[in-house]
Amino acid sequence: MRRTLATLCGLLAALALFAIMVLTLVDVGGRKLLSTSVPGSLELTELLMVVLIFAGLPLVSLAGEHVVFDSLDRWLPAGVRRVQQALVDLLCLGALGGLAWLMWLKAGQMASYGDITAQLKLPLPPFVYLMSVLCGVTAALHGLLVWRPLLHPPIGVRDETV
Amino acid sequence: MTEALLAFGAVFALALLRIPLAFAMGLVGFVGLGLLRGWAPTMANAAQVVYDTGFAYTLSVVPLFILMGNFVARAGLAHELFNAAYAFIGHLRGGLAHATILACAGFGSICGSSIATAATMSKVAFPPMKRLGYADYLSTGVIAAGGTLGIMIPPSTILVIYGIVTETNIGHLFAAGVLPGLLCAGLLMAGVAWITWRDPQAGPAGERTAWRGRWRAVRGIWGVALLVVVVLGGIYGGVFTATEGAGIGASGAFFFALARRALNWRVLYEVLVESARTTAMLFTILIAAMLFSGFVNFTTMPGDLKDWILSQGFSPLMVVGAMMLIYVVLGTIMEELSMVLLTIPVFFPIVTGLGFDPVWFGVLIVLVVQIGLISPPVGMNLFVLNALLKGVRLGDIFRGVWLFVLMLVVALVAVLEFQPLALWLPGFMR
Repeated sequence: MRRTLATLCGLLAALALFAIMVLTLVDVGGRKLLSTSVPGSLELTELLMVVLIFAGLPLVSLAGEHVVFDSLDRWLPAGVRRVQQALVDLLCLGALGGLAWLMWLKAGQMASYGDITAQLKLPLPPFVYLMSVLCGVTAALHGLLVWRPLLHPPIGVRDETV
Repeated sequence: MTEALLAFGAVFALALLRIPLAFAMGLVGFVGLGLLRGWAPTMANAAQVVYDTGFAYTLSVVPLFILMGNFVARAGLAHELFNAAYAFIGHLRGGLAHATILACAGFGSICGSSIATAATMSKVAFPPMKRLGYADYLSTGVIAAGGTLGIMIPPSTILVIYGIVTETNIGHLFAAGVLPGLLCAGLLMAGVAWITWRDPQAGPAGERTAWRGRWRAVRGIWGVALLVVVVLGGIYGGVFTATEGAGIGASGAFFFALARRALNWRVLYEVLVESARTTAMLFTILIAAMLFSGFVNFTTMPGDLKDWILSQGFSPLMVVGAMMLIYVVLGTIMEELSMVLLTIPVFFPIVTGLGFDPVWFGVLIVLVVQIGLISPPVGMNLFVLNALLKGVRLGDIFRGVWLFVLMLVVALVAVLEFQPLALWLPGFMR
């Protein structure tokens, strides 16, 4: 279940990122060398960015890669740490669940007046629904981590912010 | 003013409870704005911020530069860079340590991440230094410090994100990073010279390479050189935007890795997913920072603080110097990017209000992040090395890095006092 989710989101994010790369190359190459560009490449990149970021979100939570301040860890007994982690996951569940709900409302609003992209006339609401669903999935993942704390990746988070 | 101070306190308190910084910032910003403005507009605003940050063409510069660095790391180019540097200066005392810094600088011109640079170099440079009998404190110190060149020498994740949140031209920021980056490299090499002068056993000389071998080693790095010239040259020369340059760079790095047979489907998938994860993690912080700054900007704090500072008649340089001091101290314990994003809504208007160039301030920010990344007790680069190099004690890593922290502080003071170091090169761009 967890693995399927990781593979699914991984594929989605990987494809989106690769597509952004190819799209930029073809667009810039076409414009500079052949003076023709890919129509609507800007919009496509924007839609793909949404897929990339929000499909990546569950992966970050699964890998425990959010930036945390963990310097106090060594002074806390394991039992306290476990309770603390459960509370943190509950809070993440609440925050992401709330965000999923907000985005769902926004998607509904946009659908009601039929929002489309300017150039290619692609419908926008499905992508906002996707944002909402993937936030919801990530929220559910944090719920799962409260339920089964052993699934947590080992503490001592590696981040690659900078 | 009070409500903003309370909010900063709340973010720190939540972070101490081990709540991810992005969630702490985002929640405090959301609740704060809700209390000030009412909940309905705040909810609509939050959804709009998330939407706008997601659907943003210019922000694709972030994943593309990350991808470029990851492709190049997998292509094994770091080895060639190190070999080329070694071929010229390996026979000097501490030569391998000097070569490490040069290789880091070279790698930094394709990779925008300090941690990725340090991690890659630990695989490339640590084993030969160990073989030659280098002291662990010197070899780890030099890799950790050299890694930070990754964010000063363009491209740079930090400069890109600074450019995005402050709406400063990313091309200008990249140009501004070149000279300070070279200055940092020079100062770090001076640090190595000092250490090996005091303790010659720490860094014995390697074998001299004949000229024929040197040229062969240089030929090994033409690919990196070409990529750098095309991408950065294109951005500086105005041939394409930073976003387009990042796309070209990622594609070039992809074909390069392909040509070197470093890619199969599995590796390609891993590189893409790894880059996607880093991207998603950065965007959670970015979105949270936007929510937080939306709240801070709604309070009177940025205006009050700015008016107060301007009315006190402090010397402008002293004000910026004080900010840098705050950053360096905070950076010893805090995660650096969050620290910068958290404080920018308050600091940035003051800096521009004092009449300083945002490009120059961006370079200063990178320098304090560099210092924070390698200053104990909480320096990410040090932890990464500790995790990757099993045989080295954290105490040794801490001991070796102090002199290099000092060297970067010298660079910080130099750029603070002498603005043309950052602003001379971007002056040529239109």
